[in-house]
Amino acid sequence: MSEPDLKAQFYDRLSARVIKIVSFVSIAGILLVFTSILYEAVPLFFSSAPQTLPVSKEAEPPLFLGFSRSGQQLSAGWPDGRIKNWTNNYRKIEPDIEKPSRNQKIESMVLGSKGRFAFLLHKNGELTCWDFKKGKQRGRLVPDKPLAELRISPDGRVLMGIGRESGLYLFRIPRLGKLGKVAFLDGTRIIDARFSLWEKDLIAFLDADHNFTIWNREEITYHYNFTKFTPTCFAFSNGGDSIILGKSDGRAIRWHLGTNRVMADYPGVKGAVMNLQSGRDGWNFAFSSDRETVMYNLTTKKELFRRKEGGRFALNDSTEELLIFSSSKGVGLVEPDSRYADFSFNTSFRKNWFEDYRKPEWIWQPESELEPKYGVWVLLFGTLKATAVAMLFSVPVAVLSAVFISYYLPGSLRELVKPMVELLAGIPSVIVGFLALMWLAPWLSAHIFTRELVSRWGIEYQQLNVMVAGMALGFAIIPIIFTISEDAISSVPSSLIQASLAMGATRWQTIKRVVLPCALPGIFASEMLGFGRAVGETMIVLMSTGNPGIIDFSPFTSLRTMSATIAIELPETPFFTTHWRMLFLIGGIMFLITFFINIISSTVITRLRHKMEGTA
Amino acid sequence: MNLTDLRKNGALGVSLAGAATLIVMFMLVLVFYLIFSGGFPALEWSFLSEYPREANMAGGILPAIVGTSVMTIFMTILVVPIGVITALYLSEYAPKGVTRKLILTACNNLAGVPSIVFGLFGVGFFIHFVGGSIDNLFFADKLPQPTYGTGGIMWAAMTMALLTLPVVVVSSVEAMRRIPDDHRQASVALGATRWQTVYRVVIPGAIPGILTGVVLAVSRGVGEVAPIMLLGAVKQVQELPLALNSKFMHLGFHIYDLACQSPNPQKAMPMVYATATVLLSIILILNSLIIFLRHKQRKKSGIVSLTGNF
Repeated sequence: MSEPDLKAQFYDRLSARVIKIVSFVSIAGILLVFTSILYEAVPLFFSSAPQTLPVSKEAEPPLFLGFSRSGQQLSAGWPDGRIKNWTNNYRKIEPDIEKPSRNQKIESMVLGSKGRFAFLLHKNGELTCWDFKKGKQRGRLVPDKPLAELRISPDGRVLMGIGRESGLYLFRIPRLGKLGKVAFLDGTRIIDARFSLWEKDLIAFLDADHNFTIWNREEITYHYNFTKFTPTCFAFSNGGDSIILGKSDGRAIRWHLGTNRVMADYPGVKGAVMNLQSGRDGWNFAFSSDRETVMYNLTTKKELFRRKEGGRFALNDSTEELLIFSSSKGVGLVEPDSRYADFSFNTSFRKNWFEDYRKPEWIWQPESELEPKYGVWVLLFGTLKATAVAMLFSVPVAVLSAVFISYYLPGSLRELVKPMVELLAGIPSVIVGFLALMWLAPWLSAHIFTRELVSRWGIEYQQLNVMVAGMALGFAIIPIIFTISEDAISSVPSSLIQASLAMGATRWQTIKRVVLPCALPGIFASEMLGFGRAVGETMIVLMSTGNPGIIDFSPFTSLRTMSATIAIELPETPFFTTHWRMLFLIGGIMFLITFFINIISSTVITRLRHKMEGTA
Repeated sequence: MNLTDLRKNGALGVSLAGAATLIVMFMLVLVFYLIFSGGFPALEWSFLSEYPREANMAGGILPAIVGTSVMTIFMTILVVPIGVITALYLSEYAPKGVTRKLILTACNNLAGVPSIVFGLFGVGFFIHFVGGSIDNLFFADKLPQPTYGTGGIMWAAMTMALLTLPVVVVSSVEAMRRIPDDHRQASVALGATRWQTVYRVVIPGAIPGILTGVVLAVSRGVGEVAPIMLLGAVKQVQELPLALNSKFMHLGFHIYDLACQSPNPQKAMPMVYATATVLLSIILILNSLIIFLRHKQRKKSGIVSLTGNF
């Protein structure tokens, strides 16, 4: 073989290899799109097992477990009077064992807000304050009546004692742990009492006759007698509009104070609920009986932690860790995986009763100051609503003009009109959205839905409504519906048309009876493609819908779509949070919808083309 | 003519269909009229050559024009070779079988995946995965201030390249398929290798079709805003986007920003119209180019195709 041939063959082999590699890279890139979106969304559905950090090996169950407000100070107290304190310094737990000077048996104990003081209720009825820093006793007081349990206010200024037989007592804590009596409430036996998490001076208590009362130290602001079940303990929710009640059957409910109705029900533990605590910074709460301990998210009812041992525990306000005791391992710090606790697939597609509402509703409001509200259904509904209006508007126009252009327009005009439709497809959606926002919406409300008309009909008319969005969106999908329908209509075999005309049918009859039925699958496919395009369209709906995250069936109100939500929220969302991943989930849903629609319609089109070719 | 005749001839249907066609044409004209009539009065040379002033409500849009152009050029440089080579593989090299068909179908369908989803992909993959890794490896001293782990013109261009890849691949494959097999066989019979056949016969014959795909991709790259706004398009820049990771202004994003997020929409209105005029003119020019290329292709092959646009 001669020299140039070798060179040519070398180039041939080289090019074949390069072409193969490059094309595999590009195909991999296409596949990457979907996998990487899934990769960001999938962690929502999984949580890792709770991690336990051993704190101290103990044989006897403690009487008390607690965190300081900052969460850095952990403490435990035993009935024989031993109390222990640990500092949690970035997961390095340093023991800091202290003993009260008088080795008396204790009945109850609470930790001061800063973790410096512990308040002890002794078996002999005495109330003392212990200073961990100085290692000595600070204040001492003997209450009039024997107490059973202690509580401390969130600011650490007031101590509350639940009377052993009856009554509720409040003690002032001035600086340096001295104690002073302030007020007391006599009456029936109290079984649980709490300070409000946020409002100073607000106290709630539950008595043995199932009366639940909220008292602001001057008057009673709320009272309810539970008759249908037996509450055993309670806690305030983070927002203050609802409380969480533990029941004697081991379940817990969320009770709305405004309407006196059950907001949610949580499957619980075996045995009556004994301890119940809610986080002040988050929306998780935990409760236990003498046999089991569980932790749930208040909104999604997602179970974050469960163990087959009950008893006392403590919930950290800010990090939502649990301090627990197990008979085999002693005191331990548990960190349940609560990263995506506020997401659950069910609650995203169902009505939810949120803290600041009076009934269950569909809401999308992820950055709410109260509970984050991830009602994905709201966005799906908004997308479908806008798309439906767009289809109503565009399908007749596009299909009819496809018929007209294929069969009634002379050839030269046809060649002029078709590129115009293609030009229509080229108009950037941001320009369409801009005109919808700045021209169509004001024009409609000035000339058609005028103020008089709207008030005569008695409807709520928002200037940026689904009609405006649907018209603009319809305008944007006319070209795709037109082009594919036109393709289907004009590819109907001429033999069929000629046969129909030869039988004496008019041109319109031929179109109605022969062309349209033949082209129907193609027209259907074009509508599917238009639908898919409308679902994914972003700029038009972003600019012309007003974007409120609620569900509304009126044709004259604003809405929020999936695509607009991603465009608005993604740039402002912190990375890797539930909200961030939710946006990827929404993107994944959009991807799937459009991908399947495209596959179905392209199959229909291919099949139709084969059929037409066969007939011709 | 009596009533039956009218019904037979479909007087109502035909007039409705004609009306529908008129509506479509009217809407097209309306859009151009509204934008151009609002925009031309404000359009001056200084508008194209100056930086914006007073919170984008005065001055010009030079950075937006440059940003759009640089991003689109970047994108074109990336998408054209990869797209054409992939098309070559699919049309000339890949064994004709199920896999090839599957890839073509996937490609076709990806062209219909919403652009905002590509934007999400860009954020998740390019910014966080690739950019984040680059930051950790080479710019660790600047963290937590991200260098590449944030929106930038390169990530935008790469995402847009992926978004337009199916367009280029599909229209190039179509163009290559239209070249009769006789030509290839003749070339091979004369002793040419496969590469020589591809290089001398297939590519020259498919050039108008490939160019149509490229212009379509460019026109999408210029007009698409949704992914750009997630990937580094900003309201205002201090300098033109000359580094790979610089933030940039974009004509489409500029329109959105002025129309929806301006503190004084009334005052910003002439600016929006003028910017929209510039954008629409670019689109108009690109579309004329497509029509011209189609015409050329049609003359060459004698085959009419309309589906290529989508």
